Amino acid sequence: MKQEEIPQSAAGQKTFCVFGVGEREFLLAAEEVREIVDISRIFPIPGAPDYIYGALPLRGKIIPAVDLSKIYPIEKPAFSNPKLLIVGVENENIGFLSETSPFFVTFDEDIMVDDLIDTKSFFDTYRIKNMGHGKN
Amino acid sequence: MGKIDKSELLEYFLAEAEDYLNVLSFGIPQLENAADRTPILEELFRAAHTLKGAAAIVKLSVTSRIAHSLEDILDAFKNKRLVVPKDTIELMLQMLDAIAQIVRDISSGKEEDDTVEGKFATRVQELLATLEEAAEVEAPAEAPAEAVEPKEALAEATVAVAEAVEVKEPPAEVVPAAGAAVEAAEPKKDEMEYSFGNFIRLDLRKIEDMFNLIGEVTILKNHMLKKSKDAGDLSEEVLFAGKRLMEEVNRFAERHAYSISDNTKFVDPLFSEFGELEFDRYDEQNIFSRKVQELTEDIAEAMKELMGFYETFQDDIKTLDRVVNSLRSDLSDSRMMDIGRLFQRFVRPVKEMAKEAGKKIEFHVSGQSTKIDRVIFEKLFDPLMHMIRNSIGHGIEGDEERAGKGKKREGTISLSARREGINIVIEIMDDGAGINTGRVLEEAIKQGLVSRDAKLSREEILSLIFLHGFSTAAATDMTSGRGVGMNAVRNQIANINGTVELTTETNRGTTFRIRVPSSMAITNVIVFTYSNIEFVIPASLIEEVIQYEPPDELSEEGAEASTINYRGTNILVKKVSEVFHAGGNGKGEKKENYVIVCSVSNKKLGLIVDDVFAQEEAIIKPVNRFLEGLSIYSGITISGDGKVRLVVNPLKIFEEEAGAVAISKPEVESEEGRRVLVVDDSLSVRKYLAAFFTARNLKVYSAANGAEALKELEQNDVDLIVADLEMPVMHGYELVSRVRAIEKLRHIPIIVLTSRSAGKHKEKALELGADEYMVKPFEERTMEDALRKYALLQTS
Repeated sequence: MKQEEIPQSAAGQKTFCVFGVGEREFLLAAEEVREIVDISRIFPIPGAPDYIYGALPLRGKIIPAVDLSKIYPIEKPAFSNPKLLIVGVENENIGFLSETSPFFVTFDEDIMVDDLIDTKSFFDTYRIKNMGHGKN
Repeated sequence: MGKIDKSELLEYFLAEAEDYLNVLSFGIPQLENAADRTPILEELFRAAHTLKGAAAIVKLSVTSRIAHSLEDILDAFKNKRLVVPKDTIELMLQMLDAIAQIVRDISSGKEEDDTVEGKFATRVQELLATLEEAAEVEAPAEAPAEAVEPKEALAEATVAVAEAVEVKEPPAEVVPAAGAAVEAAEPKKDEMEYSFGNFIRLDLRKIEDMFNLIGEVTILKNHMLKKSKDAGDLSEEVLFAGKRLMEEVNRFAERHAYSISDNTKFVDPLFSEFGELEFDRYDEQNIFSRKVQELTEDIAEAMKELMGFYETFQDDIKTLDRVVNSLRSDLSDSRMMDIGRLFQRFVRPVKEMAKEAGKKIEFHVSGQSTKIDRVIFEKLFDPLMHMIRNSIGHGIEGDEERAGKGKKREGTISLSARREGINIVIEIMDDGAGINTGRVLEEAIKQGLVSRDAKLSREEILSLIFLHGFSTAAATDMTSGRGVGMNAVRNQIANINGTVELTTETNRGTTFRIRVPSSMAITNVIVFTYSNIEFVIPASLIEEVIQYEPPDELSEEGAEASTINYRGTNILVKKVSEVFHAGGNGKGEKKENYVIVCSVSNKKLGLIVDDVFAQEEAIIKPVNRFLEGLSIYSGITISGDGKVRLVVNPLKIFEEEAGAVAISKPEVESEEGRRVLVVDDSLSVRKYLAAFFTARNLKVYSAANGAEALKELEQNDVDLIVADLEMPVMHGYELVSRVRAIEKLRHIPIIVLTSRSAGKHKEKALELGADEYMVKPFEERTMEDALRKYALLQTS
């Protein structure tokens, strides 16, 4: 697993990390991306919803890897040489699978970008809530 | 009776006193030179104040008195903003030494020496009197200017204070204030450092960090141990092969190292004069044979060395193993606390609660010196409190009632702890009325937790009180009445990998038995596999691992929970595949070899798994919060070779079955209601939907795929089908088109509930005849609207 340099945004500008799943591209605010790693092996989590591709051990912690193709309408991606973008959110780390090598782009702050993942609301929406024992 | 242990309190006082004395002994000399004395005075005042209080509690009256005087002196200097004269500083240090002397005496088991006070008592009193009279000094901004002021302020003071005049430091030296002062104090540090006993205070998080590191080392060490064993096996194989090679080579060499050449062979003209036996001649074969022999010998020699090395290496690893283990247990001990300290916390509440309830209760505590991990210690308070409250409120009878039963008027509750192997067993025993199983059953039936015609054993009835939903308001008089039932207690204990059981006898009382691991950081776990995925279960929850012999007559269909015979009784078993409802180990490929028998609140339950590996040590980490809703897992560990292993929580796996065998499925209840068929390959989705629909008074049938759904539809009439698209065996599209093709099913509305949100998935589903298309996770309101649309729900 290698670590890549994550650029800092200059004043008045905002940097995003662009990654791809299938035919779609998604953006993450660069400052939320902790690191980008190559995936050597990933472990399944039986019982988890299908958008959780598996879990990856990283320096003694376990990072769940999210497959966005199970959340957004995307043709089944190949994930032949996937990368994992590790994002810090709510004091936890979660990872997004990417089929492409992520790259960084910088825009002026006032430009609105599409396909930006709001990690906080993503976390709240897709965090597993009380599954596995059928009680609600 | 939970009496306060004085020697234990003294120990804490000693540790604490050391801290405060050190604060004072570093701070007081600083008063001489510091530019801004107020913060120092405040800190010193606080230290003296706390020391006074702490000493008073352990009844060290002399110490407390001296600390009190010290506090007064510091307070006066603080409030009146006076410069602290040099000899006052010395006086204070003397007082400090006196306290230190007493503390030292105490720590070596002697009594408080009340003569020490005499040395300075008068001077202290004089000083205090002077200070009382001294006028308040205007707050000077800087120290140098201030240095002159007190001359007038304390002009008429006693000798002690008058000498303040001598405090005339040249301003240049005063400016670098704190730093200089500390430096000035530095050389004295040795003589001023107070240390009694062998205590230091340590941030718990530091220990936590060390624990994590030790844990990583342990895992690595275990990995090395395993690898070294593998290497041992390998080297034995190599050695054996090497021996055979040597034999072969030697045999070959014997035959071919020399050869008598036959007549036809080419003869070197140089040797032509020598006869056959007069000079050795070597042909290619001879040379090769010799070379091979030499090489083999070299290799054998190297092998020997390697074996020697390996043996030393193995010894080293074994030593490392021992050292790491003892390091770990030492560190583990540092986190251990006497459970007595936890028990003590209940003494007062018990008194108060007994008074409130108008009952007379004796509270006995035993096994206080049992050591327990601090983490577990903290987490035991709530569940224990809950159970004690239960015992007082509902276990112990009123004294009239007790007298009527011929019992002692005073009820008894005892709390005990003992060690059992790697576990700590805590018992809460009362001599009250016992739990009335008849009423428990009645209540459970009333609450719909169990069906009326269920035949339950006494044990099974008792385990009902641990069920979710039991013992709420309706059960007030029997159990808690505080809204949090025994279910919460069981869950809290399960979170620390513990179990709770109970035994009860009418009019004799009830005993709750809690079993928790004595340490949390490193847990013994059993590793098992299912479908080549590795999982672990904490060993403390496992009763036994036995071979699994599948019963012949067991039909695969619908056998969600079956039983096996375990030590004469039938216990419930579940396959891991049922838990996750994942494929992988489907029919035909029979790998289910073992049953892990777990003990879950009074019941033994079995988990059928593929393979079980030996016990291992693991550090269990909490599940990432993104996944924490997956409550079948209580944590995650990483194996020595870097594999993620999920920690299975047997309690959650058997949540539904943990209560009783005959828990009625909600379906049976509303016979007349409207019916829904839920088709989804995910068990959790099915369970979730079943709960959702049952809560809305609908009867639920479920199926894991299209084929099962069609079978259900053959046998039962339904009013609505909720189906997933992607399922094994028969997918949702096929199900929809088949249902639409069958005359008697054609009218049933179908809601497709899928995680696919693409337009074309939707188009296809609607085209085939689905009525609604919903994307997971669905909004409850959307589903309710749909139910209303198809008249399965009354319009609200």
